[in-house]
Amino acid sequence: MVVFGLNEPANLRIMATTFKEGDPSFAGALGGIALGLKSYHIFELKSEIPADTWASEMAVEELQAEDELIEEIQETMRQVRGK
Amino acid sequence: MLSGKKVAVFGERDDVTGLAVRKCVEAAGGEVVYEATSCFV
Amino acid sequence: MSSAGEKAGEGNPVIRNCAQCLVHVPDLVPYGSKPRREILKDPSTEPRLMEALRSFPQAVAYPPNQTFIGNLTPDQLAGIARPWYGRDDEQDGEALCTGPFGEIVSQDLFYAILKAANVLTPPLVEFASEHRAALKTRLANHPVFSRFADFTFVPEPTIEAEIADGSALALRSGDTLLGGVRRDNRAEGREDENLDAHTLLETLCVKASGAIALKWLLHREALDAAEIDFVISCGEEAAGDRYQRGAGGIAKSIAQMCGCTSASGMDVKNFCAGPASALITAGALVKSGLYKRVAVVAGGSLAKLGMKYQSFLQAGMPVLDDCLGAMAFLVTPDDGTSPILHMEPGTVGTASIGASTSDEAVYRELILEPLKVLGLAMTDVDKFAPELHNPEIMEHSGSGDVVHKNYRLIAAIAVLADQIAKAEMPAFVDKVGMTGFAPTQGHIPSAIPFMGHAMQAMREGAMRRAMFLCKASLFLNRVTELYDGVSFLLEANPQANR
Repeated sequence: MVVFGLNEPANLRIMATTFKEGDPSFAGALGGIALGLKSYHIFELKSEIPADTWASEMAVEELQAEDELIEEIQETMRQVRGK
Repeated sequence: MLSGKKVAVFGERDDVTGLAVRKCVEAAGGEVVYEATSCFV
Repeated sequence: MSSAGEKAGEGNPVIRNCAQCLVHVPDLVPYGSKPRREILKDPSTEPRLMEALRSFPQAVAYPPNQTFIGNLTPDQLAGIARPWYGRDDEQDGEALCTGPFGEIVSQDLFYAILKAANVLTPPLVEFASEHRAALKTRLANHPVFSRFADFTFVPEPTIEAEIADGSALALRSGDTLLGGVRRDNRAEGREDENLDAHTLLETLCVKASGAIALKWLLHREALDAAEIDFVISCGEEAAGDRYQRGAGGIAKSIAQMCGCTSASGMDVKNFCAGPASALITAGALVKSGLYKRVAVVAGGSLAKLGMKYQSFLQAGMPVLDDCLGAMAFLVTPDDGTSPILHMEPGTVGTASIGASTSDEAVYRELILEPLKVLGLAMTDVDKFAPELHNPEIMEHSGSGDVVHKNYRLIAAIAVLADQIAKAEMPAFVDKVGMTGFAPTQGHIPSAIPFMGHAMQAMREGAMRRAMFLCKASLFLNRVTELYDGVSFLLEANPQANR
């Protein structure tokens, strides 16, 4: 599986789709090959991470990203995964 | 959910770095097999 | 010394003057790293790229470029509606070329300065006979650069044949071939891949653009070049040959070209944070008493020209990363008026290797610790200057507004330090923040372009403290995962009368 730390929804969509289905622009080395990998953004995985690790590693990043951006990122990832 | 999984990490210097993501994944029992942090500037 | 002076710390050096210049080089954009690689894969890229380049008047009128040389403040830029490109204002193009901090230099002038930067025989830079006189005259008539015009040409140029066989790069102006830059063909250089035309053009661009900034600094300060006693260069180039690929010598090359006969110098390397590290080093040299007038110079990056050209072509926009950036700063002992560079122990922000295990720890060391030593909170700082990349370039290339992201990070640290509340983050960003305006030239846009504006505001009594925050992606060297941070605090001189 893939876990992302980049916060641009457009880039996330392209990269996550590539890992799931192959290269969506049909150019490049991965063209046509479905990799079938699930992608997540680290913001979606808060409940999976031990609380003290999250606090020391992600506290700043969570505050930095606007609440609306975090939601948009999570929604984008859900759409690509299909759930 | 991450425990025992092989994970590829893609970070961004000005968002969440690969380092931060890796430490979270490893703390949850995942194994990071690929890591890259991009710097778009 | 007054009590206010004691609070600011005795013995702090000052940043006495600055120069911030741009060099508009559309015909060098194909030699940027990204365009060059893509043109090699698909030659049809080149005409499409060339079509999308801007004219000199357009690059001059471009509001972020006007901000870089000081004709607009970042706040005034923020008040101009986007898009900023394509504004064909009916203004006198000549008058806007210069600003309080420096000049936007045109390509033909830069080509002549590239020639002036050559020291080898046979020369690395050559122009065809019919263009020589014009280039030399253009340079000789320039109020700041006229001394560069003291060069000669060889009688029979062979540059066109060398361009054809690939050992030289063409220097064009649109469809006209003016001359070229050749590889080092002498016995010592002939087989060295580090001395090919492209690498040497990169080195020459750093030297020539750095010399432009240093000349402007001397001009603004009305200082004789011989009064400079040390020069530090801080670009990201690697200058040298096969056995010493990145050994440097650029500071002294630039200083020599500008007539700094009393100066010694060295190159400082720290990725994007190079200029910040160089300024701190300069400050330490002055504070120690070793030197009195240290010039910090940053030349521009050929490699980064046209880096985002594909996004611009896709959006039907002109190519906006068509300028080299160049800056120079003069660091001296306290003169009682210029803004001071805090150099008391603990007041310079660093990212120690031990702290670099977590992003939060890095930012605490970078921002909170140095302020704490001075008894200050983040709310005591008027402006923070982080990465200042032009958002019009960054957003179209899919990175989002990098400047805004960095301000959110700064505000997040303030929240974690209990200095502001989460709900106050947007207001804090508005207060201490600014819009980006610098071209994507690596070490150039990292915080320091705010220097001219901060110095001006401090001299006018409109600002007291500005913190400059630079990040350096050390992990790009492939032998570490670290990224570095360097920060320093600039403060209005407490002795200056308001």
